[in-house]
Amino acid sequence: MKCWEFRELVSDLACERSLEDGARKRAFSHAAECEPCGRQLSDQRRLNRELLVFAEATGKMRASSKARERLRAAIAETATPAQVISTAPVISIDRYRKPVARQWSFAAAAALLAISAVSILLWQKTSSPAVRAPIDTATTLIPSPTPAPTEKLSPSPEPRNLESMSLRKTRSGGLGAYAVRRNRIRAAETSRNLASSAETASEFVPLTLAADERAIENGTIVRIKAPRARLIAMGVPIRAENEAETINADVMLGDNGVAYAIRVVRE
Amino acid sequence: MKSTGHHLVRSPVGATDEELLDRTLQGDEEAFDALYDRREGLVYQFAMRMSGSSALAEDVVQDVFLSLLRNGRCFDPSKGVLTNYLLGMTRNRVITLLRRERTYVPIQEEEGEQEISLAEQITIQTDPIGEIARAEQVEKVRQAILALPVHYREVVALCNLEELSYEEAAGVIGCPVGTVRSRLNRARAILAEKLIEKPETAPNREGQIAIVL
Repeated sequence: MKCWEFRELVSDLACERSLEDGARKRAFSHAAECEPCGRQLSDQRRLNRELLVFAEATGKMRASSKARERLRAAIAETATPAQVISTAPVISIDRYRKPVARQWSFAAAAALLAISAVSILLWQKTSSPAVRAPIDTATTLIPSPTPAPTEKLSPSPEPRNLESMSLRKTRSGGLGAYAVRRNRIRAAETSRNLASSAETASEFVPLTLAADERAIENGTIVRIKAPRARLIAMGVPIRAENEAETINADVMLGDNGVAYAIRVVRE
Repeated sequence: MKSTGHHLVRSPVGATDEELLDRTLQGDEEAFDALYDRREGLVYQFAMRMSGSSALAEDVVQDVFLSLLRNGRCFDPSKGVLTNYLLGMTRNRVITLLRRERTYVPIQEEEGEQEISLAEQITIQTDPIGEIARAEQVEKVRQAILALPVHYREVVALCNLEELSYEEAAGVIGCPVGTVRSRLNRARAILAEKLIEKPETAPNREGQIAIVL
């Protein structure tokens, strides 16, 4: 056995850990023949005794009674009703956190909250629950989340070129979501008639909270025919009688295909 | 045995650590007290041996048992005993706190606290005159262990002081068995160099240095 091999085993030999029989015999034989390695084994055995005395001397150490009280207090701070709860006062459990580090922790938490809030707002703005399918009489439009307490149509003058269309809050003041100002509405590309001076139309009822002004500005208004019951389900404030009756309605479509608002048109 | 509701429950005295933990997680305060009384010393001693600070060690005790309450369901009995799990949590927590502190804090009286040093604790407990030298030697060993790098210190504490096997210590630390073995070898070589006096420099009983001619 070489000295470097012996050095790898000397700790195990001194601690009497299990070794292969052959390795143990060779190691002891080497220690008997090599004075430095023999001395090393002797030193390691003395170290064992020192460590044993140290372990016995420190083996009776216990945390103070205050540690138990602080633990109880910390448990009381975080315990759920399902767990045992005591009423001890709250004590900080981390005495080693430096004040500067604590301030940075708060700042980091605040920044994270701000980023999360902005992300949620951006997500709400860009995502749209509305369908993108072309509008027809049997289309499924997104129902307005606002209640529709009013049933009467409120005729509003509509410019022939459909400019300056605006969406206002419903009378119920429900959504308060958005108002579109000075929109340029292109002429509808469908064959359907748009509201003219011979028609009366209700105010536009918003169909979605997400108001993409750019999409609305470049959008179109499409005339549809839908059953009264369907319009009521979408939140349009009209009377519920004769639900099967088909009613003309104008749908404001954004250039992304999203239906943003609807109004009823009466000839 | 005592009756709690529909079934008989073993008294905490005879229950295993795993049974006590299971009952603790179900809200049994008595079981938690029993587990704390049984294993608080283990956690505290290991933290003390690693850090040299009773204040830090007590914080570690608190953190470890709180963590056990919160995350005790993560303990998998098939992977080892609860004591090793506690040692693993203690080791991680001590290292985290030591990194924050950068240096270890030796045992000393803190302001407003009458803390008894380790040497004084030992002499107070046994107090024969002959024990003073022993206490001083114990303090010397403590200083030598605390002077080791953390990755050497922990293997000495686990394998030589807590008497864990290489495999158990490897599980606690999260490293291969061979790493534990080689680190322990190196750590013990350093300790022997510091603690074991060479014959040519050993002082005699009267305090005079023997000169080897």
